[in-house]
Amino acid sequence: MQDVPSASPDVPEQRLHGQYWSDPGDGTAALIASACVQCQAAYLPSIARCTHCGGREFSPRPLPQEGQLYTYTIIHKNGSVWPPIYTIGYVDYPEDGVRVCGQILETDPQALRIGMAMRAEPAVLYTDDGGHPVHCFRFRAAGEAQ
Amino acid sequence: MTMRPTYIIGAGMVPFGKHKDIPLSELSARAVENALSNAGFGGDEIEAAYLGTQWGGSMVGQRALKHTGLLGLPILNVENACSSGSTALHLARKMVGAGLHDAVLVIGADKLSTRAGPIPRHPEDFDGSLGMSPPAVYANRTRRYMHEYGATLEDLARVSVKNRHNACLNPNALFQASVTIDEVLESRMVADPLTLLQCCPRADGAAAVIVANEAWARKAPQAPVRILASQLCSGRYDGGFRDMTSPEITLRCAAAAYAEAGLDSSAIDLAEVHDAFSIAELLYYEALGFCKRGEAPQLLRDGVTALEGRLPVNPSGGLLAKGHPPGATGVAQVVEAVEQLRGQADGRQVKQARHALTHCTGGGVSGLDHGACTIHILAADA
Repeated sequence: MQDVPSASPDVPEQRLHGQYWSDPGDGTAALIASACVQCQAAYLPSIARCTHCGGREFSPRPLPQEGQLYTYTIIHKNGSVWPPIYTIGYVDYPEDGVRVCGQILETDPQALRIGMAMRAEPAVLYTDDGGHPVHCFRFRAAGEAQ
Repeated sequence: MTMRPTYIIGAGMVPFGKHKDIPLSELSARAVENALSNAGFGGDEIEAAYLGTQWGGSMVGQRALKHTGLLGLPILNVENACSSGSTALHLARKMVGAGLHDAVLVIGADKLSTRAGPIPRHPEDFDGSLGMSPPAVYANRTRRYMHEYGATLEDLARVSVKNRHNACLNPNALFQASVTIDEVLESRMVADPLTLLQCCPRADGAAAVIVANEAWARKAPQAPVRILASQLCSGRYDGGFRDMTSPEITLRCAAAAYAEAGLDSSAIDLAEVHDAFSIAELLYYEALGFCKRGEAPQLLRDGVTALEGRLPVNPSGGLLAKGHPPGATGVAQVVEAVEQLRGQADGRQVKQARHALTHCTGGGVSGLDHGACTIHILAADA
């Protein structure tokens, strides 16, 4: 479990893509897509014009707690701000037609399998160049105990 | 509109490698001199110059052509990620095909040896901002492809083995040593399951071709190569359940290219495809119509795409072994195709090479297979 350092008073907490997730405080992250008000097609990240119907008005659509792992990889020594090993992949939400890219807690390839249930949680993805933790959602296998 | 016949009448490059001490402008100028002399041109014949680069910065065309005495004509610097150079070629072909110019110089150039780590995606891109680097993109495709079709780690490694073998016969290639399946699989893990020897190496290089009309082609000292098709596509956005084992942009671009050339994939005698990672070559066999979905590993195992096979793929060594200076790659693929179609490829000459296909795609944008794809189909002038 990664410790989440508290932000210093003069630097607001850095929430990467904060419009797409919230932290209800129960260890999970709630993902919020944006849905076309005309045809209900959902997007995460959002888009200015619906690719299905051309609609330009969207409203927030909370995604269910669990999605399915479409594919993933474990990255070694990517350099830059990234941890020496991290997992990144895509999680599908079949009822909403949305696929969400995100980092994944597990870094052991044996711990993951395509199609397994995943859920989102708040996490620190990396520390930026100024030394500040960058908060975002990430996925983990849904079967694991908190 | 109907395009007038267009040809490549000169082609040249500098070997891909680590040219840390040579400025990109000089590398580019050397490639230009090689292409001009190959076309029998002094330089005054050129009416415009288009240079593709992803990482070269501003005004590489002007900086390069300063060394060649060609300044003053319209120069366009083109950026389309890995398809930058081939996009410059597409543009030149359109201008000559439309009759607006008689002869245009095309350059592809990039210098990566002075950079460290994988090429990053743009920080504004959603997937990129979360750490979806190019190796991560291809590794995600790899794992899904293995899941759907049962491809093995050995199937992947075999791509690197083949292309490293071909590169040993190509003096323009960065790597000049062959590798075994075990060596590929035992190299350091980059993006599970892709190991280092399944990732294209950073390289420096430049390549240039002269695109000209029929009148110039008839006067050319070397056999002209006809451009039967030149297609450029951008990726379509799909935020839903896009099939990551089937590159929609390459499928669409290939269909357009075959239609323009009036050929199908069975007419292709050799192909240079965008093997940025081992999995890429397998996916593109299928997307280019060389085999059915899921059959790419078998095509490779059967030796069909080997140098001696029915349809050699990446006789130059490809990105995996020749090296990948992104802006230069698409033009260098065409330099290889021209040499093959002229019968000048020496130890790696493909037998009875009449039609060649070059394919270049890249640019990471969330929700798109890729940002850009170019396909050229070239024919030996009969």
